[in-house]
Amino acid sequence: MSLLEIVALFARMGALSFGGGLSVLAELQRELVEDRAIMSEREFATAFALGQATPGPGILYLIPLGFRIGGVPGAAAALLSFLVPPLLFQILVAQRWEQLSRAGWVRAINRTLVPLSLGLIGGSVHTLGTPLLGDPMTVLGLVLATTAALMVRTSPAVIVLGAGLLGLVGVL
Amino acid sequence: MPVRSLLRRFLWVGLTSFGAARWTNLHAAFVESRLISEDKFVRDLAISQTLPGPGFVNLTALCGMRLGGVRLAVAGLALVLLPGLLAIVAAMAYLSTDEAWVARFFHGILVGAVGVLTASFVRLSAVRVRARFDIFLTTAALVLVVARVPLFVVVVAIGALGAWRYRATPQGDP
Repeated sequence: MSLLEIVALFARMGALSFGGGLSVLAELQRELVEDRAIMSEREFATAFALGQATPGPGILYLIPLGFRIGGVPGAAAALLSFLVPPLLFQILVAQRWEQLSRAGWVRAINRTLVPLSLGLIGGSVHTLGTPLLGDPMTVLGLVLATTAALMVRTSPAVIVLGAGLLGLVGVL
Repeated sequence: MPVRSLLRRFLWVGLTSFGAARWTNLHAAFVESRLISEDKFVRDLAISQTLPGPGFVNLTALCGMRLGGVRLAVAGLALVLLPGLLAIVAAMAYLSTDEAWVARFFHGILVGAVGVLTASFVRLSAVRVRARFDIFLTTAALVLVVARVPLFVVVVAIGALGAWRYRATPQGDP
């Protein structure tokens, strides 16, 4: 992929990322793994895992993806083209938010965004979770991690890194 | 408050933010310390969650704009991104998934991360998707994504359907 193609792809993903950067995972995987065959499913999943194991915004998984496609310029292009257009659009809208938020059509779209973004996140869960379902111990780990995240009031980082340690010692 | 102190707060947010509710770190850094009012923060949170793009990044920029204009927004955003960026670059430089222990570690991380993502999906669905039509929209979007329908089509189709359904309801409520 050329740098221009990277910018076009990630800018499109950024523009469609309702509900956050994780809502486009399914589409990105389809583009990079299945359609363009730039990376393997495992490489894609590792990039996602890396992004979730580090502090800060969850979209940092774009860096290893961009790097795999186009080296350092690819990583910078992926991150910036994903982040900057929505950011500029938001700053423009923020100045007129009081006026816009009273409009019926904005309220109607706003009302739709929660179920839409949840559906997209559900799609990401399906995309990343399905390949993990083959091994019983991994399935058990997935159930335990989900349950812990739902029931225990702890930082997600503890769960993610704890699961990483279980993987390291060969339990998962 | 001096700019240096504000920048330290952004860096701390970047160092300590994990998981789905990262915006609570911004709330703790700027609202609980009375640098930004609750009302203004809630307004900015609504904007960041309504528009496309990562909500946490968008909200960070809006907090920066409030506290010191464009320059502080850019600097604040850079500092929030910096810790994770350095950690990822270090991991990419020093960890090779060709090594068995690294592959096992990342496999575990992946399992944990997918578990946390699944929990976010379950929790948010239970709390925020209760009306029948909302459940239909969520299910439809999920099915379309799984069926490999292009994301643009999913967003436009579900967005248009929901906007049409809720077009004449006050506050967008059913």
